[in-house]
Amino acid sequence: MTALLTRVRRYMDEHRFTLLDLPIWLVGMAVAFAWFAPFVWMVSTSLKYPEDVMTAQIEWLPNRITFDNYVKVFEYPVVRWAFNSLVQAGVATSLSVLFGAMAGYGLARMRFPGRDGLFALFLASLMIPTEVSIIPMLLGFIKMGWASSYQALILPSIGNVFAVYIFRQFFLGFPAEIEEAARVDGAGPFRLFFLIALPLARAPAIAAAVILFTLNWNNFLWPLLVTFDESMKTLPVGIAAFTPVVGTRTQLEGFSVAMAAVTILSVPSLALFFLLQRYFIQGISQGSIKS
Amino acid sequence: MSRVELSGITKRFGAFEAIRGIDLTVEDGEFAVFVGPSGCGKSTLLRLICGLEVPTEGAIRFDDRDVRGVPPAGRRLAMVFQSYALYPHMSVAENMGFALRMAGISRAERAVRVARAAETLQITRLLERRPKELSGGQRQRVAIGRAIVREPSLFLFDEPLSNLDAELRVEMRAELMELHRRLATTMIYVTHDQIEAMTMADRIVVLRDGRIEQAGSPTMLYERPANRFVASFIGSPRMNFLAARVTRVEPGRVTIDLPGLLPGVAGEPLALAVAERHGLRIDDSVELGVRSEHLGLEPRPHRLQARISFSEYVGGAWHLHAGDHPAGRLVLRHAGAPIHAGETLELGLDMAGCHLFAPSGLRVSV
Ligand SMILES: Nc1ncnc2c1ncn2[C@@H]1O[C@H](COP(=O)(O)OP(=O)(O)OP(=O)(O)O)[C@@H](O)[C@H]1O
Ligand SMILES: [Mg+2]
Repeated sequence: MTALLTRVRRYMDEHRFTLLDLPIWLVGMAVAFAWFAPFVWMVSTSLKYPEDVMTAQIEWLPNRITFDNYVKVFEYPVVRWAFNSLVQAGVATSLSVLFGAMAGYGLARMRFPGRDGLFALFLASLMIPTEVSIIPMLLGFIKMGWASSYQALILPSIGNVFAVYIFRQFFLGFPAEIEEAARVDGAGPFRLFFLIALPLARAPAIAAAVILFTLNWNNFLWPLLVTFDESMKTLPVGIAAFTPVVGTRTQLEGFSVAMAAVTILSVPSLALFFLLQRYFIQGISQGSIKS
Repeated sequence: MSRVELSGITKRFGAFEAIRGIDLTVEDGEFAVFVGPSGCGKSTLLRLICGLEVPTEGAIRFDDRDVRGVPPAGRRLAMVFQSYALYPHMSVAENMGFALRMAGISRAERAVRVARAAETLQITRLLERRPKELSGGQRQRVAIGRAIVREPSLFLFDEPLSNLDAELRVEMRAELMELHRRLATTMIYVTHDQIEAMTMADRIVVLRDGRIEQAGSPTMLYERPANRFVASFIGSPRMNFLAARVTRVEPGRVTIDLPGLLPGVAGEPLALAVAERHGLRIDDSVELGVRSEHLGLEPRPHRLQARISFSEYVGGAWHLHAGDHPAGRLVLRHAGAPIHAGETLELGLDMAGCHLFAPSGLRVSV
């Protein structure tokens, strides 16, 4: 017991953790659990037999497991949907990072009339709920004959205020002398951006890419509305149709297969996050480069 | 080659006037140093010449060509920044070749020119490294290399050595002077270190609050400072300023009284030759400026009595401080037997090295 206490004490000292930090730590842990529980439930359900999905006693971890659900996922055209999702999320993310970088750079570094007003307008646009504009936008796309197309999936998300914001913050703290040196060396605005500023903005680019990829990958409402054929569905839209009843399967069976599909769906985002975690946190927490 | 002419240059940032009407010509091949206290506008002036800032008023001419509207890249100049401003994502070779690449010069020729510059600066073996893999001194060399690769007709340096340690600074100073001797290109160098200014400059431009206080050769600024500010800024230890009072005004000559002055050997009053229009009147408060080397233990007609409050050994000599002299604090340089705090000395004034400053701060003695 005392040995344990000593170890706790040493750990606390090493991490500069005091008793005052305890409430914060507890709240943090509670939030972390609240976030984590659905994830555990998802993975656990995906491994259950249909009859174990809804039991009187909550089974957080399945008593017996099966991989059948994962096999059944592939009875649907999930490969095609995954391809659609990948194209949609990949292209939309790349473009919104590029445009976010350009806009953020312009807003942070170039002097032009109305610049700060423009930025305020960008921020204000966050207050308009998607639901307000989504139907007119849908009608517009249908009128243009772009319903159920990659353009329709991609175009609405290529401009992202969050990306603009994160790059703007970064470029505000970017050393002016580096840019001035490049100007003296003869770089015009475009080469300044593409050869100097953008290559040095790796941290915010990665942070924005991870977040936007996850958002785009999970995007549900818009793809649901704009895709009319099975072949243009994205993964979330396709998977949503697994429940409540699909064909001859029962609702419970639909649940566990859907959870298996969603588990697969979450892999790319998670992988991306863990792979780039270091840069991601850097990019979010500070917006400058060390000279 | 480049001769830089500034006429009536003013620069305002909003309501704040950073540069207030500067007229200056830097001759072709000259090594000019802008010096002055922090915030006096040195960098701003350099950036105006560079083209990174646009003057609010006035004209800048390079070899009689007005460069208004010409971007920095079109001015055939190179600038070395205080922070070096190397491109962190490029190798040393890419850094040095960047301007050439922007100018559309072929890869092969770039390599040749970069190699040549690297050899001059002895950084050939660093060419493949990234800036973060270099020491401060090496970075500085690369920054200078990046400038010389372009063979500009004007070099601008903004406190390029201030991030280096003292020893390296002296070394790089010598290298820069050698570079100037070899290239014979016009160089404008900004520093707040008056020793750097004194040792390197053909001409020093002393700035204060956006104005030129005086421009001239190091000897001229040291021996004939235009005003009290320049006199106090140039030289180390700083010039001593002794409060005095005008007791007699004659054509071309002013007699003053100094507190703590010992009776003259010949009963001779303390008088200085002054310029024609000095505007001094009897009873005006003036200051007598005397550098430490003109204040010594040698017997001289005019002597001050001073008690040494502390002495600093500076290698080969002492700086003796007299903090409580009635006319103001004194510092003198003394080589010889050590003198300790508490001793009272009789200091001879070498009148040939004394300056008289009017209440306005202008030097009126000739
Ligand atoms: N972009 C700007 N906007 C507003 N004020 C500025 C700007 N650039 C410089 N100033 C002001 O102009 C004055 C001169 O600045 P400058 O950088 O030229 O000084 P400096 O002599 O180089 O000083 P230091 O030795 O500290 O580098 C300062 O008071 C500074 O605050
Ligand atoms: Mg400066």
